[in-house]
Amino acid sequence: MLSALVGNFAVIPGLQQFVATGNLDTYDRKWSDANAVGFTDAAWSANPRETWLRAAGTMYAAYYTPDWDAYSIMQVLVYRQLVHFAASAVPYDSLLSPADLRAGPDGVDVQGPARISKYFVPALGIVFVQRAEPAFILNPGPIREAQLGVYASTAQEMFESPVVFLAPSSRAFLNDVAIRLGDARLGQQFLSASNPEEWRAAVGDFQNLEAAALRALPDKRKEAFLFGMFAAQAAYNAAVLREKTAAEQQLATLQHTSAAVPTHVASKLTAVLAARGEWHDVNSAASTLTLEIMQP
Amino acid sequence: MRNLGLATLCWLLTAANTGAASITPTPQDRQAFESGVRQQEAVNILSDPRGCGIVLMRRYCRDALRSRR
Repeated sequence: MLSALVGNFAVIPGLQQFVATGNLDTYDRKWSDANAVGFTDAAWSANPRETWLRAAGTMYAAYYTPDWDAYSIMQVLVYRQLVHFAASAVPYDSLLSPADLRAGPDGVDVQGPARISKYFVPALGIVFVQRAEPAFILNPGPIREAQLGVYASTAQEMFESPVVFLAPSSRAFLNDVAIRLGDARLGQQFLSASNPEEWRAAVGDFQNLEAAALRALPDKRKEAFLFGMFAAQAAYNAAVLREKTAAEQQLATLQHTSAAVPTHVASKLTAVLAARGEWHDVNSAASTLTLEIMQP
Repeated sequence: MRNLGLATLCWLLTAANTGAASITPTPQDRQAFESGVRQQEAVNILSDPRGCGIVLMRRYCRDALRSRR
């Protein structure tokens, strides 16, 4: 019954492809390469410190994308600029190695960004600690389990897209969810996972943890959890996956569990059911329902 | 030789992280850094927009896409 309700955890296309292929998934590398963020000479001249920090921010976020080692070749110019203008960014210049600073911008060859980022990006992560996105906030009262269900569903949906789950802010969110479900060690795994095998292990552990947490809840709280989970899934499915069988299962479960949530939330379900068959309308109504669950 | 290289790398990592732990960014510096993060995230999002279908990620997506300059 439980697995029928929560779906088949073993099938997560984005993650599976990430694991199987080394990470390409549907991530459009060519598009990303063509749109690499750059900084003009005028920006560097007008405000080198601000531009340096912005450039460091782009390099930080670029590092946590699929296939960074290949992508890093596109970043030679920005890394040369980071080295060249380092003196404008005290004390952050100390995050670059003395050897790289001494070698200067000409010392950054095509392998430079891949090499430098290995020590520079983790150091940036220590200085500019990334907040969880979405923020993880649970409200007390009967809506608490439904909110936890929305968060659990959000984590599962993140696993569909490597560009999302690799991001530091997503890792911080996954860490928060794992801690709340009772496994701080798994939270650390999300923060540190650096290859497809580590991600596969972490996601497998997360799915077991989530199923165990759900099993441990009393019936009414379990139903509230499932209501939140399926409200978020219904919106995501209508927006992205558009699987008809899944949609019917989601709507049926929402109907079945709606008595477990407060009236102001359950009343929003009517619009979701009325929208059945129209993906855009289901997405809109299920999003409204999900956000009602998350109201403080 | 290889061990020497590894030792140097470890030293570099330790030195960088020790320095990083002692830096507290000003709000303006943090804002500039975050602005760069958002710019790159916009590129990431447009290269695989499925994450924006997640209800709780939609504000994040909007903020990132607005940051494009």
